[in-house]
Amino acid sequence: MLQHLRREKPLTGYNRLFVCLCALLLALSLSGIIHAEDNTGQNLLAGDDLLADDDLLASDDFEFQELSQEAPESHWYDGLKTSLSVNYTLTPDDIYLQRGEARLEYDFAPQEGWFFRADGLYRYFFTEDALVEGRDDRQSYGVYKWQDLWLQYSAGACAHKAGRQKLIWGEVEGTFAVDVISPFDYTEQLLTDYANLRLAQDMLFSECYFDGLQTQVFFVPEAKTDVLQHHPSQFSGVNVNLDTGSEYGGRLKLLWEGGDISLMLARLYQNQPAVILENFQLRTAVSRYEFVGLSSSIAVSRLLLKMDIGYKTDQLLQVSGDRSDRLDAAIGFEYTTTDNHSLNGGVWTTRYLDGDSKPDPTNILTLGWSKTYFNDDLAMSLLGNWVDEPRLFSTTLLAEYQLNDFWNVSCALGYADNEEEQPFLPLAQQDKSVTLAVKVEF
Amino acid sequence: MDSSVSQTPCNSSSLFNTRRAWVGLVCIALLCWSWHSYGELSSAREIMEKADELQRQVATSTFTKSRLSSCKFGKKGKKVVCTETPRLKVMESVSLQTGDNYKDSKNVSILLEPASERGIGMLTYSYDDDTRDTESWLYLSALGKVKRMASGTGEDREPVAIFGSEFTTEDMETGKTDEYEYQIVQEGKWGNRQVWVIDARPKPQRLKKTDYSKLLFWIDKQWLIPLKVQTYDKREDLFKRITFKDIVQINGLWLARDATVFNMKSQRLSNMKTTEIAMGVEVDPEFLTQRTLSDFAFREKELARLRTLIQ
Repeated sequence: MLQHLRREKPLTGYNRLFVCLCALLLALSLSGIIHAEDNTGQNLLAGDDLLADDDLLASDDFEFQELSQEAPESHWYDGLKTSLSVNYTLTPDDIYLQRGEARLEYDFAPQEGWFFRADGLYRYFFTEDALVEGRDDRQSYGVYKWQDLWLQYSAGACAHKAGRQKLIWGEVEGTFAVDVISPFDYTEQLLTDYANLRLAQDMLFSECYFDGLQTQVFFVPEAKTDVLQHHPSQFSGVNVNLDTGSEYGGRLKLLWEGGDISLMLARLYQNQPAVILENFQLRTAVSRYEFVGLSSSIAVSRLLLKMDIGYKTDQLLQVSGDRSDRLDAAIGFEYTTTDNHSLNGGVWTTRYLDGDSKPDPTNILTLGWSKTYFNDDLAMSLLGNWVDEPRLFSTTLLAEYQLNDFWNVSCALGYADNEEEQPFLPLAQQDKSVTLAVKVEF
Repeated sequence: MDSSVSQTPCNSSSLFNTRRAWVGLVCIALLCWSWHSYGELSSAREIMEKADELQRQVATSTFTKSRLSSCKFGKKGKKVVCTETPRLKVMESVSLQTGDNYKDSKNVSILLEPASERGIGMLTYSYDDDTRDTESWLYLSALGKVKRMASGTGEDREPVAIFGSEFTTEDMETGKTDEYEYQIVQEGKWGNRQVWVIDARPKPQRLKKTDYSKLLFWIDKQWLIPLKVQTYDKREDLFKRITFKDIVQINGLWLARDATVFNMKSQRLSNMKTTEIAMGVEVDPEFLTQRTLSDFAFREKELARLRTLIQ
């Protein structure tokens, strides 16, 4: 277990750094809240006669020196985007995560009706990173993955896409009631960059657009199940990257003014292998199952209501290897106040329907808040989760500051209260943590 | 079940600010229109209503590429200059005025710069009918997903900064002339143009949802467009000054391709420049649907056609 691999001697230097980062984040938060609306500053133009009410027709020699902003010519590299980032997560005793990333994206339309996109991500894990410490050699290493590598063709009412891609279903963010096509990448930190959090798969995908109706169909030749990827399993000798077969399915979406509803049908593999104890030996397996889902989102003034319901057959249960059908339901809301505080929340509940060894139902409550300050340069957000089985409470305060058009700094404070460890996660939520990330994009 | 998957903080506040701002942004580019001389108009209300009507009539279908720059400013001699590197947003937009008197609108905008926001797309349907909510969808490139947003009606809107700039949605609003009392306070030559200077005071129902206690418009008598606007805060202190430059005639219509707002309180300015424009273009109705947000091949095909129509 990762916790067992931790250094036993607390490092006082990290303690100090941890406290300093906490103080910095709190100061940033308070600064944002207290001074956000403070627009009163020295008026450089006070006393300017040109602005006097009784001299409205005086000619204006108050001249603005124009910004240099001539439209540049188009180049082939306009579709190129590069981002580099480093990320540290500290606990009071140790460095928990220490990694760097380089990402290259490129997209262009080679011909009328065609579009190509490539998105490659290289991640480097330094020696102090928890994933490195979980490996036998404890040597830093790098991993490369394609997030997107596809070609799209559009004709008539339909668009067709072939290649490495992600497919995300569902309306209630952060729940997996119906969002079951592209597996979650459990080696990524669940904090700052949404784009990295999914494992892209090789897929054929078609989408058609009609008046008030959208259809989607997809085909995956071989489903991915290696959600732990380069992280070695704690169960030595157990293979988590299993051979699978094809997945396919479709979605029908009806739209009307103010709302939409989607019906989804698919034949899938479980995204994560189950570890089964059989004859005193561990083995892994995934089941192939049928999936039916229903999603809807309805906007009522500033309130957005969201709902996902998913029914999955033949889910393999951990340890026992029994099979059970499973029902997931999630409801959520988003609301923005008149002064632009954004509130969101949701409840996600899971029920296994068959078998003596079925797990207890699980309920997850999520509440969040966010707001931007300083001309949108500072984005603050707070998110809390409460889970009843296994019992878990966690909260994260995140501040993201855009220094200029290229540089972004983010800092997060995390607190978690776990009743028990979650052995299947390579990155467990730490009781107390501070994350600092710096990113440049150009 | 893994519960930690729902622990990603989400920041949708900035998205909300943004979604109400996109349509306003297009309106900046299309703020000034006219081709007649309107010297015969006598009352301030007549002048403002006619100017407002012209704005709505003209932009039936328009493609624009715009650059929005914002910075802190200071004075250098008699010139106002940026005292820091300006922040820049570049986007392409297609807008279509629909409905009775062109008071409804459909707009789609795609961000090109900065790199961190490239590819984000927004589709908005706005209705003049205050009982109908504005409909918005946002394409989040990080998620590869189109997301519905709740924007409320036009009536429950508070002024919102456009992309963190000094322009607000209130600065771009049209069709609200009945919510103000107007008075001509001066007329004559301003620079080399004949203008009316019109004082606008919000009526009580407007006061609840405005940052301003008073606005002054310098309206060109020939073109019936504002050349300058000053707004005053609730204490009647000068708040913002908006100037319009680079006024050109395209297809017989007058258009200000450069608008700058100076916020006298925050000492920040924002400059909006329409670098490319095609007016009165034929737009495939399918283009102003969710398809444009996720079908990139379709979008690029239509945009490539519109780019050839730049005037």
